[in-house]
Amino acid sequence: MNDRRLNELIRMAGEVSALERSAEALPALRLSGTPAQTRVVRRRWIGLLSAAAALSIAGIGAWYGLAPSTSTVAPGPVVVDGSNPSGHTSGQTSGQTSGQAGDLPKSYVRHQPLSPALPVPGVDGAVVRTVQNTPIPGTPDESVVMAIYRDNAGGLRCVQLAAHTWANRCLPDVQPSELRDVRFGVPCVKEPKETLLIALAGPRRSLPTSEAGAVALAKCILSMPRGCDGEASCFSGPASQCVPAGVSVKIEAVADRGWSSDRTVP
Amino acid sequence: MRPVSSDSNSADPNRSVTLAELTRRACQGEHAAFEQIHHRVGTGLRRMLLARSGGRDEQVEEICQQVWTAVWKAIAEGKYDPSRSAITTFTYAVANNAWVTHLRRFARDRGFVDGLPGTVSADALAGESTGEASVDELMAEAELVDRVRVCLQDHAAAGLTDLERAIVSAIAAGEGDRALARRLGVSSSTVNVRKHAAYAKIRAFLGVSGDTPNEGPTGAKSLDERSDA
Repeated sequence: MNDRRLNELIRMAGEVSALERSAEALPALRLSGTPAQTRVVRRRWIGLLSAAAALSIAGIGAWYGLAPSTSTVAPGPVVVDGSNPSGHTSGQTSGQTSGQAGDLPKSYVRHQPLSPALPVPGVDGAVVRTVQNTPIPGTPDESVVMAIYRDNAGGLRCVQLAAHTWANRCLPDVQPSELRDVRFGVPCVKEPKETLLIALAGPRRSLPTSEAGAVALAKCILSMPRGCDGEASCFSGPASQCVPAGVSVKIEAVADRGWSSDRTVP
Repeated sequence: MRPVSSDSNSADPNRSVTLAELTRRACQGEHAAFEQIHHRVGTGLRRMLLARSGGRDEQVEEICQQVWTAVWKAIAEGKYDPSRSAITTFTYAVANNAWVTHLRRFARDRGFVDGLPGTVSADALAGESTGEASVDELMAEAELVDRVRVCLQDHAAAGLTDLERAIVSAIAAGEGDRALARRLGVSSSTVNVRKHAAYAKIRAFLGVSGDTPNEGPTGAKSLDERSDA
């Protein structure tokens, strides 16, 4: 047996081994039955796999930002204080659209976060719309109330934020007096010229739950151009422009001349 | 309606049945067992022939039909002995022979050459003759290939080192000495020395010598040698 023949035998042995491996390998699954039955089962499998893929994608999406927060809502008033005790108003931040919105001095904060911070509009004063989110069907609405304290110049002094429930009622059904009765504890400023009480209801992820979110929303509302001043109705437009879609807003304005109510938007 | 394995049928609902068991059943006349063998081995065999033919599907289809007809005939007539070679190896030997026969006819029909070397039973596979000797030659060829397989798989028993086994396998697969030397990080002379040492050990394992060209322990001459003679 010469080398050539031996080499040929080795080659054949390798090919037979490969052939045997393919023969011994587990064959691929297929569907038995008539062609019609096979088509039906195949369609079912395709449907199931498609549904599983869609659920997986939805789950991933929820995990990365659409899922409701697992944080608990603080049971009592939560204060987000954006001013200092001295009422310092100098040093406005850049980017504000007008002098109607006061600057926000270095803040001291006493707050309990309600949930992870929302997408924050430009805290530096630029009017930035918050992210337009569509409420997730089935997501229970939550409600918070913001108190925006303004100084004599109309600037922002401080903001207080309180979680509040309206006994499963919609904001339009809430009476103005109920909004005024929301307890914020000790006001963060003395003798504010005007206080705006803003009730927000919507998905938790769309509501301000942190200092930055509340302050940014307040600045957004105050910085929006409006045709009047002092009346709560003047803030309806800005409020509707500054909150995410799906969030209801009800505004009450408390001025030194008394309370005035506003309609609910949207 | 349920998902089942492709080789599930009334004869063999259990896909874990080995080819040896299927061969035993086929030798007892069980047609379903032979169908299982055909189903398992047929795909790989077809793939191998397609590779050889450059993807000529019609040729491969014809050769496959010849192969399986010959295999079934050998089994049905009791000429295939499963104790001498595995059914896979025997089928391979039949297919290899059918392929070479096909090449010979192709060349002869076009007047390229008088005949290509390498067939032992071309007439039998062509249906012109079904003599017992042809199947026996194929059995001998398959048996020899199986012994080489055992030698390479249990190379330690044959005295082959890992390097020697790798060298002869790579060379048989078509890799050149120089390329193999570069890949293994050894010199070409080392590859050459190791190759010849491995050949000697394989010959010793097979019980043949290099002085008896192309004759195995069963007396079956190689396909090439028959045509060369």
